[in-house]
Parts: sequence; structure tokens; C-alpha cells
Amino acid sequence: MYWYEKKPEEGGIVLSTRVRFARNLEGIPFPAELKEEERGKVFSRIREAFSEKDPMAVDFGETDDRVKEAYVQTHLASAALAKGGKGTGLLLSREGDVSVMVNEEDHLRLQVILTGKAIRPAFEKAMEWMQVGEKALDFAYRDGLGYLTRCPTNLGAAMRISVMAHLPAIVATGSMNAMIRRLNDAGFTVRGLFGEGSRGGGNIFQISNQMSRDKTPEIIVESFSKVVTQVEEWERGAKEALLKDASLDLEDRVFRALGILKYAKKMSYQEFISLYSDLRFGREAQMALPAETEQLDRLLIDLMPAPMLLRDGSLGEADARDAARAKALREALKERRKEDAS
Amino acid sequence: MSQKMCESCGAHPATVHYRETVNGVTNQRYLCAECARKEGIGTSGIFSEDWMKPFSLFAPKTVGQKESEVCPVCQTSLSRIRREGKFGCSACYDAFASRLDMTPFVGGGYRGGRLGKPEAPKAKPEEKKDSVSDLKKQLQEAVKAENYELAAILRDRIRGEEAK
Repeated sequence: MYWYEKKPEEGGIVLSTRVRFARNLEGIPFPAELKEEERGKVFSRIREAFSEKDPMAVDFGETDDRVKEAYVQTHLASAALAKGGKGTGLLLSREGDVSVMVNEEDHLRLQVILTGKAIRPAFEKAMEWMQVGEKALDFAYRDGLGYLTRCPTNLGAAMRISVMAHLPAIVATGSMNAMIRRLNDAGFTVRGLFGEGSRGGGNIFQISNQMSRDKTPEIIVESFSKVVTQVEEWERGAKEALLKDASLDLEDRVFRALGILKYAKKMSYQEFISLYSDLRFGREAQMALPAETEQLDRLLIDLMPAPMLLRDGSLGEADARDAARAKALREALKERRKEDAS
Repeated sequence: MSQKMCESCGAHPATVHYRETVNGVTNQRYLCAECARKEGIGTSGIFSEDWMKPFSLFAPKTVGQKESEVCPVCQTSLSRIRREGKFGCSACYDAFASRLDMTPFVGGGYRGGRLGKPEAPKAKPEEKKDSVSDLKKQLQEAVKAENYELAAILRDRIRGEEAK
């Protein structure tokens, strides 16, 4: 199951955790300098190296654009990888938790994505795969510089950790810019995932470590864990402050969102994540919401344009998708009797 | 007022005025856009990521140094690396790291070691080793460029080679 298909723990503000390593093969030019044929050889070599993990191989040279776009929207591939042709692609673990991008900016970019807050487990899973790679491949590495990457800013452990966090109260109390500054100073970056720049559509933000050559993986994991805990605390405090002053207004907003999601006949993705955010706020603030609202997390990804088009080829136009999206939501939020709830 | 012509080719108007002061010595060039680009001067937009500092990582360290060298493995030129801020392969680092200032904002030296050691030492295929004289030359350049970190690494390698 992919990360977005599982249900995260209740009340948490972290939707997903990701750990990524970048590596290159010694002595072989980086992907941008390789011809298509040579990239194909690198792909085979890397695929062979991970054969004990039995991953599914996806060669982007033979993959439909719609499928590639779906991989991008579900965070299994980057937009840059999707532009690549033959010899670039993905290796996906059978469990759906690991995706290896081959021949993107570097020969190999392995990432583990897990549902909810799972920093240590994601790190350990990534290390498990990296050790397989380390045994079977000769990764370019130099003392003092660390693992070699195309872009020198990625040198060192060449590791990035990030979480996707829902921070509605920090935004509502006007504290987001201050938080971003504090995190920047501490060596972390924040960016909105679904909106423009640092405005987060749906109040969802990605927090990640800045690349720094001298930091070892352990140090990165430890400092990152502390930062996430701190952000959770800030969000909790901001929620408390909001609820103290305006609990009725907030409750009203949450339940109106529920009403619209339950009955609307068309719904754009932008509107959906905005209402999803309101509903999620209600859950995180432990308001008495019906059980059905707990099933919406996977829809955050399922109802994105590309995944929808992949499931149903007739949804090429935005209007068609908006209608289908609203229908899916009406279905998901139909009242369930206690016996039916699964 | 007449337009100054390019010092390098003499054929086009000099639209780029480049001035650099190193150790108290000022050097000025008046170049056309094409010649400036060839010399790796005046280009911007190398670093587009928002968390990078807005100055060039690879400002030329010595004035007027000819940069026609290319990486033996991938043929990427040093001037291209300077311009684009990206390397072509692992051998580029061996060839050019001593000529580039690798220290700004990417932290100190990496001391993490490889993650997970392989079970048995792998037999390395014909490894192209630098001769001791090559290493000594690189060491000299590193010291001249004040890249003491790299100098220390090279010095250790030389010692290792000479001990054999």
C-alpha cells in the first residue's frame, strides 16, 4: 500500500514522512552527461543491484504521460524525472513504501515515504535499502566531501528528511512567517505544497532539513525529530489559543465544511483541500465529527487530477473531474451506521 | 562618446564591464556578451534554489588563469562547472576540487564514513591511481589556493603511496 492509502494516527498533524538519499556510481558520468543507451545500462545495473528486494521496474521511456504524471502527484517521482525518457525511471518496492528514482539529477535517488509521523522507521527502512545498494554498487564517495552528487550542495550524507504537516492554527494566528524564519535559522526549510510559494494550499507544508555537508545521518535524524516535535507543540498551542477565543466560530466553520463536502455537486481540487483542512482541524481539535470523516486522508491524493484520470479515462476535462470528485466525496461521507463502519 | 569595443575579439561592443580585486590588485576587462560568457564572467542564475546564498560558489580564485582543462572521464570543462555550478561525474571532483572553493555554506568536511560496510572487501577493478608526482602537484595547487582541507587529504594519500 502506498503511503497515502493508510490511515495516520488520530489527532496528529503530520500526514507523511519522507527520507531520501542521493547516490552516484563511481567513474560513470552523471545522468545529464549520458547518452540514452548508457542511461539504460545504468538502469539495468541499479535494478540488478536491488534484485534481492524484488522491486517493480518502471522505465519512463515506455510509460504513458498520464501514468508518469500520476507518479509525480503521488510523490513517487519528481517532475524532473517525468521529463526523462528511456533509461530514466523508477524501482518501486512491493510494499509501496520505497521508490528509487534512476537517472534523475543523480544516478540513484532512493526515498522512503511512510504515513504519518514515522521519522525513525523511515530512516531505518531507507538505510536497509542503502546497505543493499552499498554492497552491490560502487557509490562515488570521497573522504571529506562525502557522497558525490551532481550538485555540490548535496554533498556529504546526501540525505534529506521531510514531513508533510497540517498547520492550520499557526497560519490562522498569523505566526507562519515567524515560524519559517525560526526554522530557517535552525537549518530547516518550509514550503507550501499545494499552493503558491510559502502559502500552503490546505495549510499543508513540507518541512525539510537544509543540505549541509558536515552533518551525518544520525545528527540529521535527531535534530529533525526535535524540530518536528517543536512544530507540533507550536500548532497545538496555536489551536488552544484559537479555540479559547472563538470556539463557536471555528466549530461552525468545521461543520459547514462537512456540509459542503457531503452535498456539493461539483468540487475543484483547490476547494477540496481547503475544506479538508477545515475538517481536519476539527478532528485535530477533537470536535465531535462523525466517523466517516476519518476516511478522507487518502482522498487528498486519490482526488488529485492525474490519479483520477488514470482511474477513469473519461475525466480529461476539469468539469468532468469536478463532478466526479464531488460524487466521490458524497459517497465517502455517506452516513454509516455503527455496524457498517469498517 | 564612442562605444568601447570588446578587448577579446574587438568585433562587438563591450557590454560587460568586469572588475575584480584580488590581494589588492585590480583587474578590469571590457568584453562583449559572447566573450564574457566564454570566460565564465558575469553570468547569473546559477543557483535557483531559494535556500542557497546568492553569490557564486565558484568565483575564479586567481586572476587571468586559463581554464581549458577538461575532466578525463566525462570531458566537462572547468569553466563549464564554474558557470553552471554542477559537476559532470565523480572524476570531476578529483580533477578540479583543488581549484574550486568548496567551503562556502556546504559545511565543513564530511566525517560520516560510508553507510554500512560491505561484508568482504570488494576487488577494485583497474583503479586509475594518480602517480605520487601528480598528487604532489595537486597538493601544491591546493596549498596555493588555500584549500587546506583538500591539502590534508592529498598529503595523507601521498604518505600512503610512499609507504608502500
